[in-house]
Amino acid sequence: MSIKELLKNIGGRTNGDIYLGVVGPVRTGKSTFIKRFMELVVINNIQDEYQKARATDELPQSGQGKTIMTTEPKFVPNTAVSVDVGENLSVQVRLVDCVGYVFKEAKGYMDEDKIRMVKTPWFEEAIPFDEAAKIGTQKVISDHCSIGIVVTSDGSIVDISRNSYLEAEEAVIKQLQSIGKPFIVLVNSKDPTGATAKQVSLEIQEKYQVMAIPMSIEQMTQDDANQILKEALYEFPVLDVDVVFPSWVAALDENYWLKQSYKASIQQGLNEVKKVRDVDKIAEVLRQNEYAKSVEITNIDTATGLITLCIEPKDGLYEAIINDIVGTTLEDKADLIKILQEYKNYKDQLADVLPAILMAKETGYGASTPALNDIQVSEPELVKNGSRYGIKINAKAPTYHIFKIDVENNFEPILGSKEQSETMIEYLTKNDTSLEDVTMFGRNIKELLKDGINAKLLTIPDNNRQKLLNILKSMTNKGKNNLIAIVF
Amino acid sequence: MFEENQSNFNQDYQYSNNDYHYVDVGPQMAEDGILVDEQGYEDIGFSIVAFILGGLGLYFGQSFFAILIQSVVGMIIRKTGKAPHAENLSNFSALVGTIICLVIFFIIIHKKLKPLLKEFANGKTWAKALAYVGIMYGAIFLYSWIITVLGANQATSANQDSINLMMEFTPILAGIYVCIVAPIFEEITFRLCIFRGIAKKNKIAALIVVASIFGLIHMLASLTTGTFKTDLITLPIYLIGGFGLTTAYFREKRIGVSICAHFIYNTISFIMNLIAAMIIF
Repeated sequence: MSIKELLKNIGGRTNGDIYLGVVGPVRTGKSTFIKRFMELVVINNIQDEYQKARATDELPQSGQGKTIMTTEPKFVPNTAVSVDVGENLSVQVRLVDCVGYVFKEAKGYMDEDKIRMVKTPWFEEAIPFDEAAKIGTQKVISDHCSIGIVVTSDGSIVDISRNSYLEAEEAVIKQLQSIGKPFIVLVNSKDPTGATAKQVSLEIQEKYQVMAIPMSIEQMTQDDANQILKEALYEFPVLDVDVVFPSWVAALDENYWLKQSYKASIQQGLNEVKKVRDVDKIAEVLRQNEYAKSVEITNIDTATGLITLCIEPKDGLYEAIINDIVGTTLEDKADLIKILQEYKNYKDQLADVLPAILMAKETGYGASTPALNDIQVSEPELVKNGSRYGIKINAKAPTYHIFKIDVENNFEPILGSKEQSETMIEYLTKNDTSLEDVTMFGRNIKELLKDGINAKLLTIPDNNRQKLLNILKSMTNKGKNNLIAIVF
Repeated sequence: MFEENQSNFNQDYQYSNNDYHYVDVGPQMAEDGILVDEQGYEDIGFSIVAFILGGLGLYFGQSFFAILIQSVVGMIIRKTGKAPHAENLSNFSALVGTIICLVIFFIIIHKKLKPLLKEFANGKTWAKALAYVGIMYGAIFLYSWIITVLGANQATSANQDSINLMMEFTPILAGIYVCIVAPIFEEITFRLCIFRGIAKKNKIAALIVVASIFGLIHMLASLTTGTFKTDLITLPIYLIGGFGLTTAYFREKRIGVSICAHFIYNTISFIMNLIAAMIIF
């Protein structure tokens, strides 16, 4: 990705404001980083000459040795500059320089043998220099940056040992992690390809689970700047995961076991992934799914935090799913054709009635609407209305009225004494298995009850069935009962 | 007989301070030749307590006898090895229970019964009853039209459903019950007894209370079928009936008018239902 693309993507995650908060222990090269980064990334991309000159003038000073050069937080440039990133888009860029966390070996914060007292905007009285540095850094981290750049060192840049930085480095990183701000760590080294720099970076990565890049900030190149921005992009959270299935999987019902299984794996993966950098973990969890043949990350949209994954189901799963859906094992294509024809037949028969059944399940009553083909239309007739004439066309169509009737049935075996019956109740209710699964007299209780219910269904006499039909027919065609014929 | 009553009437005048004062007239002879109380209603010799107890006794006695007959007859039929049809048995028991209550009531008031029966032979009674039926139907048509315009569902009540069921299973019993027995029973219970009991104290209160009770009692069945909410649309119909029939008695002071109005109304409605049922079946 080019620098403009990177800036554009970061701008997409930060609403167009790229505020880099450069924090870390003192004497690690923070100001040097800001100076180099501004020269390589920002100033080169500013179109307006005046803005370019102002940004150059506002670059911070940097120096060698143990003496602290930055004595207060500073915005560089003072007001954010607009950088054109193409497609008529621009981002506002600004870096914030901090004093950093003070440690013993650093110089410039002591007055003889006492800590310097400094006046700050946050307190009316003067406070110790190290305290002011700490508060300033915290302000930058929490209030003034969209991305954190923690600058530390392997101990090779000035005459300060690696151990001196550890405490301050940990405090800054922990603080950034506690507020959930995306950040990366730069390990400033005179020899970034050397074993020490690499070892320090690795230790930081393992200890804090964050990207640490060994780099000579003094010698920072355009590629290094690109890498910093790219790694920073990967520190942003994953906002959405788009999973692409084969179309036949996508067509399955949401509650179907295969989809449920994939969903569970995706959810498990998402629980483990917080940053875009960890997206491989989602893929890894999905690969563990017993029904997944392969899982590929097909797209990472760093500008929106959208990850696209493609799942390929295991071989033979398609056939197994078809068998599962039709409820029988299909031996060959002929079996499939037979099933499909049967299905078509059922569909033709039940398509009109199904909505009525669903409605009856919900409300207790449902009526089907006739299909257009079922409507029989009579020949037009001439009708006289007073002195005028008109025509009458009669239509007739079958409709189905579905009622939900709860049929009750009891199972009351006579066992003998009260104690025997109580023992039986205890056995039935305290049994681990469901009451419905219990067998009595060689038959399942649920089956016995079902037989009774079935028998009741046949008890409505034929003439009453006919009456019910007639009532419905009359009410549907001639309207509802009216209030006029009510008897007192 | 007229002379006897006339002499009783004269004895009820008393003299006080040399002036004529109407103190307690007791039963008087009305223009139509019926002995009436001081309010002008038929005299059946009941006090307030007797009226109220009589009304309640008729209402609850009917249920008591119906259940008793249903149990006894059901038991007898089962002894013969035959299973009684629940609907037939229930309708029969209700009818007989009502008739028993009426017979008991008529025995109690047997001395005052003859003038009451005379009301039915009077053409004016029927003419007035017909007028009240016309008013009631007019009000019901108007209500039905409003409901239709508003597009509300016109459902029947559970009470009407039970009558329809009775018509379906035992149409002759239903006819006797709905057209003859129920009008006599309900008019005697609500109008002749309960209304008169309350009217002794306050006639307007009696009109409102009895008409409302009559309307609401017809909704009781809807509470047992769980259709009370949807059946509420029929409550105004029953209230129209309640107010129409109670007003008939309140104004005309003759139970014959309200019984005839009830009889005419129920007979017309019954025939309409019968025609509708014939169309359906």
